[in-house]
Amino acid sequence: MQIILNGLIVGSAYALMGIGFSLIYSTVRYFNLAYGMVAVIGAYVAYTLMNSWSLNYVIAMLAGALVAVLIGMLSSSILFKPMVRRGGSSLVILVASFGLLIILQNISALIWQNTTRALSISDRILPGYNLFGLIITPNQLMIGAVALLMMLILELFLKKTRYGMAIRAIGDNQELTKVLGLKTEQIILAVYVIGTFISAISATLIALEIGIRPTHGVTLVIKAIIAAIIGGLGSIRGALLGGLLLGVAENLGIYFLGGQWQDTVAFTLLAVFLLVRPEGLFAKKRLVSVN
Amino acid sequence: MNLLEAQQLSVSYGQNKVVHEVNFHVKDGEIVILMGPNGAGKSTVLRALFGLVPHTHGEVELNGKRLHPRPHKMVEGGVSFVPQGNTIFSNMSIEENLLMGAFHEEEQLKVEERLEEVFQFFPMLARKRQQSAFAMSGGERQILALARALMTSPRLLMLDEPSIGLAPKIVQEVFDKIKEINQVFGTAVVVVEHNLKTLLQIAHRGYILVAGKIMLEGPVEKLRDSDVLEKAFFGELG
Amino acid sequence: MDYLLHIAILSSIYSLAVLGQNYASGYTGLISINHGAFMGIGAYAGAILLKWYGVPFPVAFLAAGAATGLAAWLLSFPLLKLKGDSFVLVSFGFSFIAFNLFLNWRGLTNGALGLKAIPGPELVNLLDNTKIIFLAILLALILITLWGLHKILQSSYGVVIRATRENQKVTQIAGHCTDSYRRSVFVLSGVITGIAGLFLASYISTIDPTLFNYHLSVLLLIMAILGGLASLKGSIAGATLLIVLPELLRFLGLPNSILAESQQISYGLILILLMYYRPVGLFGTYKI
Repeated sequence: MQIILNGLIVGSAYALMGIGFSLIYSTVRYFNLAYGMVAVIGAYVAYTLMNSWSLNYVIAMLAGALVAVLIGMLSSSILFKPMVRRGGSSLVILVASFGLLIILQNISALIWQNTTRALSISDRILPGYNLFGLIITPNQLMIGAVALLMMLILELFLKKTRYGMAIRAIGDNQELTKVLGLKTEQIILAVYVIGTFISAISATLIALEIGIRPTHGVTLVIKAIIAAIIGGLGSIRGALLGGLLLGVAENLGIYFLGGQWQDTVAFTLLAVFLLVRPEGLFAKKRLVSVN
Repeated sequence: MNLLEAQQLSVSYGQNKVVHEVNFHVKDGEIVILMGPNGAGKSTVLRALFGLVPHTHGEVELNGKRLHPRPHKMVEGGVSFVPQGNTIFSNMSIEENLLMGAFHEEEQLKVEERLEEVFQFFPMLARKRQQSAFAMSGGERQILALARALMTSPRLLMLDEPSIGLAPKIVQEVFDKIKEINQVFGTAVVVVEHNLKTLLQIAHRGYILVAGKIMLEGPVEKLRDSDVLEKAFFGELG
Repeated sequence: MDYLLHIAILSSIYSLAVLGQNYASGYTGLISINHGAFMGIGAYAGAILLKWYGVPFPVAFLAAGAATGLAAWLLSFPLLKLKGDSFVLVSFGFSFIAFNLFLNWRGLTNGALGLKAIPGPELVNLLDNTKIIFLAILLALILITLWGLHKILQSSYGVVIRATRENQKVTQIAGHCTDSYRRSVFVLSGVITGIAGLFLASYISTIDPTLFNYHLSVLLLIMAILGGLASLKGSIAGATLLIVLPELLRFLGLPNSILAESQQISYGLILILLMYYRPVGLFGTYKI
């Protein structure tokens, strides 16, 4: 049971990551593999702020997220938007985003080295809380609480505000929003900002459990994609479920098979879903294929 | 003064010229049809008028003012466009679909008022207002698209093949609704269509387009009586 | 001189691997990020037999090809059901899974410690300079592969493969079982790349799992795209360029501490520039 709780906690962070990815994907319709790396850079910045300037965790996390948003916006306007305008297929953009991922990953390695950086909400070792016989550490509590809060805010924003409705509309039928005279480019940029912000928060949360390494950029975007695909691309609720499922499956895998098989479990889950139910749990949009 | 007017409108896709110096106009309160065989360029003309595709030659005037058509400019100028086929937001409720139609209107009170007006005009939509549009049939979607287009209280409706993929009985319903809109709200309508029989019943004026050129234009009686129509569809022209 | 031979050998090994990659990706449109894993399978299969069982090199050669061919065959069943972006993702996933297998199946692969002192082909001992013969064998292999692939692609079989790449539905309607065509291409591409892996293992004589992680798969794809998808000579050009380039970086006098990262950054830049300006690559004919 403890394993499942641990899985749910880390899964909620995966879910947040997947939600951000799903949100961006449903408006731009290409896979941006650098998504996870930009998020991890946000976590690195938070780490640096905490260690060098003794900022508290939440403030550092927000500051790091802002830096990530900046990088995300730059990459969108300098690389992705021009490529879309030149008529690049989603596959070409995917490969280019991989190039960006490699560059960012290695720059991070140069700045922060390849060692794993540990992150915690406080300097002292705090005792865990007891919840119905299960232990939950303060770090875990932070992850779960912030992830839940962000998802709630996002859900309210999308469902109850006018702008949120426009964002949902673009993800639903972009052609039609153009016909209605909406400023689609502006809204897409806003989505990029929101998605990147969420991803950086998520990466900083996950860092509480697994630390920060340059290679996490790749692993996190893969987890985000897995969560988003399992839940059904374009569905926020789906990404939530997908993330939780992934977190629990991974932790069960670690317990029964050992930590080394973690990635294998994740990818096998992905493969199973792509083969058996490619539209995900809450089918909204089919995975847009290039062929 | 014409509501919308185009002079010498030409459209090319790359080297391929698909619309040749078309002169077109629609007056307040008119129902005008653009007809012709497949590939005649009817949809292209409509889309060029609304600014969804760029025109390579010619001028467009809205309300007497020259402009370079762009969707948001046209919407602000009182024109609503219903594209072919995929015309609604499937993952949103009926009410949200309508609200999206009025998106550029900032004043929420006006939007809500208009929403109720539109619902009164389309009672079958009002009954399911909170339901998702996902499960709607083709005909229902077309009606929803029409209702959505009305949310801006437009002076001109542009419809691109509204009857496509619909059963004949539903097509009749859709065209009846279009006629009702024209009579009740005084909205002008430009329709691109294939399905002529029903359309000829409700339209005032029409254009016959073949291979990007206007073969004949005039009041509907004139078109019906001429043999140009038949010839156009049997490929004897152009 | 020795250094030049070294570069030539590495270029040849990777050229062979990229020929395999391009055969699948360029000519058949299977944009796979798993050929690094195939190299690993060929490398480990051959290395294990050579080192622990002392088999003659030709036997290891066949075994490497067979093992990778089998792996490719098995992988093709789930993989070929997918299209476009999802194909790429699962193929990428396979390279992760393969890496984990290399790392954790310690009984077979010796895990992170890797395998050392892997012998090479017996022929190389004919001359004092073993490198020359090694290179000669590789070049002969490349020529044979070039000739073979060229013949295949010119045949009616090759026409169907390319048709499948352009429009799978239409090709199916024309009566061809596109799945079996694609499967056979995927398997052959795996065999070629696996054999290249064997030669890599023999040449550097020490292998460990980190050689064959997703970075290698990405590198092979970049080489294929750089040289040009659907171009045989492009495969060789792309591989050679990307082997030579990091060596040039070394000559720039970059400190060793940042060398590895700089190489990777240059790969990333090349990839972006390629995709932005010339997705067909240098000699390519297929644009993704």
